[in-house]
Amino acid sequence: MIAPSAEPLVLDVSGLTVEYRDAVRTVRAVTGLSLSVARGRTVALIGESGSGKTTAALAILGMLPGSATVLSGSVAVTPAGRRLDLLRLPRRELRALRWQHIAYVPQGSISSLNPIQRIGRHFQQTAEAHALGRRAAEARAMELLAAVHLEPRRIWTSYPHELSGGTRQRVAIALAMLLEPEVIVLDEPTTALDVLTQEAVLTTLLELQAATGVSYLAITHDLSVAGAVADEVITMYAGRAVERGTAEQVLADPLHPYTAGLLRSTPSVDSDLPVQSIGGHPPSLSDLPPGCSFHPRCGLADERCRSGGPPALLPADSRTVACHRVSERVAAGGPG
Amino acid sequence: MQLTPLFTLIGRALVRTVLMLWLVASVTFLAIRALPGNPVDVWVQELQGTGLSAEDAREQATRLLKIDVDQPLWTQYLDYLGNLARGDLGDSVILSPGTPVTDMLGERLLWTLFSISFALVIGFLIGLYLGSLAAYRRGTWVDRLITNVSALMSSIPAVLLGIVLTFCVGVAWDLVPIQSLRGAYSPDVQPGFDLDFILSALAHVIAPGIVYILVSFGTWALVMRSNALSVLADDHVGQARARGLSERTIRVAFVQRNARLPLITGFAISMGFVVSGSVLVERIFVYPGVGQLLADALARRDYTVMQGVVVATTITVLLATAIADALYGWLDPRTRIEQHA
Repeated sequence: MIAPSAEPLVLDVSGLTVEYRDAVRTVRAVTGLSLSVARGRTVALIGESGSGKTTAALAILGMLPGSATVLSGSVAVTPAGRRLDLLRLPRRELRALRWQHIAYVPQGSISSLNPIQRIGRHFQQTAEAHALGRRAAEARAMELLAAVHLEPRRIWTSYPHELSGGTRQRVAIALAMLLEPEVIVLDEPTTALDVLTQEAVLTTLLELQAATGVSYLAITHDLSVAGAVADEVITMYAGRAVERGTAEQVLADPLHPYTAGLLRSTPSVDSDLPVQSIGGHPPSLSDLPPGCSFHPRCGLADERCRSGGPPALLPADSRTVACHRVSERVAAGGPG
Repeated sequence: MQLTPLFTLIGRALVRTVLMLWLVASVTFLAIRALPGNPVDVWVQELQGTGLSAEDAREQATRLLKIDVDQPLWTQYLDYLGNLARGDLGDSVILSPGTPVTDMLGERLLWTLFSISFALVIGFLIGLYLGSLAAYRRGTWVDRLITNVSALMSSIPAVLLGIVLTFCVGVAWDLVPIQSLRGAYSPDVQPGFDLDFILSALAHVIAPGIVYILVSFGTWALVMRSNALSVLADDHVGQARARGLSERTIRVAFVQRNARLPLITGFAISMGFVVSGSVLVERIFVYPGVGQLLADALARRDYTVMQGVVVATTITVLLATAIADALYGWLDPRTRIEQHA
């Protein structure tokens, strides 16, 4: 298990289960996800598209589309020692509280700004909605824009289309920091950017964390992003967490065959190993295979993996893993 | 970034406008002469029927048309274009022989533009409101009601609606003294900038106005609904909700302002279509607009007037489109010509 952090938890998600429903079918996108983020720390959710990580993020933010339902679970934040379950807050209260405690840098912040409004207006509207004075808001926005390495005055009067992708991402980060939230959800924070810009944005995120003690929940399919920012990594597959541990453990020495496959399929400068993709496709969430969802793509799968229910997350080698084969090995006495 | 100088843009717009005008004027010129039974010949014959000799009739025709009908077609065409360039559309030949067409148009076009722009703006605003309301209430009975009524109203021809309205309100139920609402204003009022005249003009515009509103709002509502739905699905709207913005701010600053942009151009173009569509509505309500003028000209083959109406309608559409372009640039910063680099 991960040693409990001395810092208090700013986000505590437990047993989160989300379904999408339409006229013909029901898709369970997230099943029983639990995670917690301590103050000043970063947790990364990694996995392929369709693994449920973005749905998990939207559920945590209370931003799920109407077709989705949260079946169970809680999302607790503790502003000023008061424990609130975001999933059970009335709409109005959620709207008033959300950005102050948990903010969001969306995937592709290119489309997350109103195209016919100047950047400054976005900051002003956010401030107005949370009773932050106009003058104070502008001063704070200027500080933040400078902190994310932009020219505050020029950006303030620009329209979104006048800015580059990297600049817009920085604007989105500054906007997320406006109300000094405890935690920011970063959805694929660097996906739309070129490699150099990615690096610069990640550095900026780390600088902000060091300066303010903000926590991040990063959603990414890019293991190098997870490696650069995360303290803890959770691998998701078919809507479930399958491995959870410190970033060093999981990324350097993955136990779950899926995490190992993800790592092998990522090109690395430090390794001479050939890049190997994981065979097959992620399963359809409306038609999951019996047993372990990963077994059709797993080289280690045996009879036990093909039938029964999905394996439980069990402690293994100072982390938790949901894999029969790994658990067997641990029971047999250490890694094989 | 290389910016196109403003005067180049204006120059291009002017060239485009002149080309369009030339094209429409030429097509009109040829089309009218291609009508079965060359109207010029018909007219010369009619004049002869009044007892004039063939030579006198042709001479009178030439004088009134300001075009020598004995000349080959291309000479007539050049004369016609020359006159047009000087703003001379010729004189009416039948409806009001000798009266310059521009004078007749000036008097009529004003009333048509008044009634139509008045009604279209109201119809447009109603459409925008209902369309976005339907989008916010997607899937509810409000949405279904608005969508169905809009689809129904936009598919009813203006004439039919005009006749039905006149019959129901004016005759069958006798709610409105429809007879006294003929014309652009009451005969006992003197045109002038005073309250009596304005009130009378407004009272008389209501009947055709309601028809224009009823037949136009549906299309706007349907287009606005689909635009608003697509904006509502945009990331920046979800993001605005997450930031805690009030639903009011989101609707006004995010959904409305973005969704209405594509409608501006369509609105300008519709001005032209309604001017030509006003023919029958103005006939029903005996409204002295350009539509009625065109109907009379067509019925009696006053082809200088026909040409005049078509050219005037074209100019209206071109002007409206130019205004829409300017408006669009003002409303959408992405199309704005930036003065700073």
